[in-house]
Amino acid sequence: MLRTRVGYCGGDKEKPNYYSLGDQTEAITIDYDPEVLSYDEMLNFFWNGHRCDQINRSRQYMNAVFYRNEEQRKIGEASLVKEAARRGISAAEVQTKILPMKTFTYAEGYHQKYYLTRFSDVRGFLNEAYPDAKSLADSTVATRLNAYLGSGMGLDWEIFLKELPKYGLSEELENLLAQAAKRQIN
Amino acid sequence: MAKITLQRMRYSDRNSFGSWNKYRFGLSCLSEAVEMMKLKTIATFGIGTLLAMTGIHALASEKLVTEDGKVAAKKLELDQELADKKYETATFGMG
Repeated sequence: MLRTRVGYCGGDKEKPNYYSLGDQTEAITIDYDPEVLSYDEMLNFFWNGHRCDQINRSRQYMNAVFYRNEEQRKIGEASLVKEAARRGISAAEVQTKILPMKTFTYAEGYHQKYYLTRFSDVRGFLNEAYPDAKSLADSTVATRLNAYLGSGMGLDWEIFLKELPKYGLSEELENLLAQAAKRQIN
Repeated sequence: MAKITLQRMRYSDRNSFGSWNKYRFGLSCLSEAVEMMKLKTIATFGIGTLLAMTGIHALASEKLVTEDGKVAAKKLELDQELADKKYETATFGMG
């Protein structure tokens, strides 16, 4: 997994924002290395992460696969049929939508890497490096820190310790995070 | 023109002692012109406040950008290393 971002897509409203979404849906985009993961595997994570027979609350909060091209549409539709069979329901009972993405608008900066808002040292450092929403959202370092620190300390901290020196953080912040990780391991 | 009015109260009105009010005395000493001015002032103030709030909100709100296929984060070491790496993107709505 290289990067994650949150934003709005799937609708026609131009220049959406959190307070004026129109027909857009809150969504997440995930950049991944196709040599390591396939789109099919990404879809497996998605189907396992929600109940596809649950009625969507609204257009804003909707379970959906937003495809970017014809290939993604075909794979997405096939995965829906497969998921329905796995759950023992018909494809028509699946409430999760397969829709074209159209345009993806980055959400406001304060929505990006949300878990990091609890860690002011980390967030402060990243905000200095990446002061705008797009660059912060596009950062692999921010994505990984958000995942590790937001996981409830449930991820593999030994892997984290190995890759931490590659992040390019300040020495002080790196030491702070290393100490926190070591505490989780011990 | 000033006028004094005596109006019969609605049955739901009670006075401060808990008993029913029978009459209400109202002193209306505003001319129609003054009342119109008062209405205009209230309307102007209301619309002005609404416009000011809308303006402040527009100035304070962040300008959002759309996806352009380019990775903007290139300052930190790992970001520099991965910025040009080939990738694919999946997009999901997560209810």
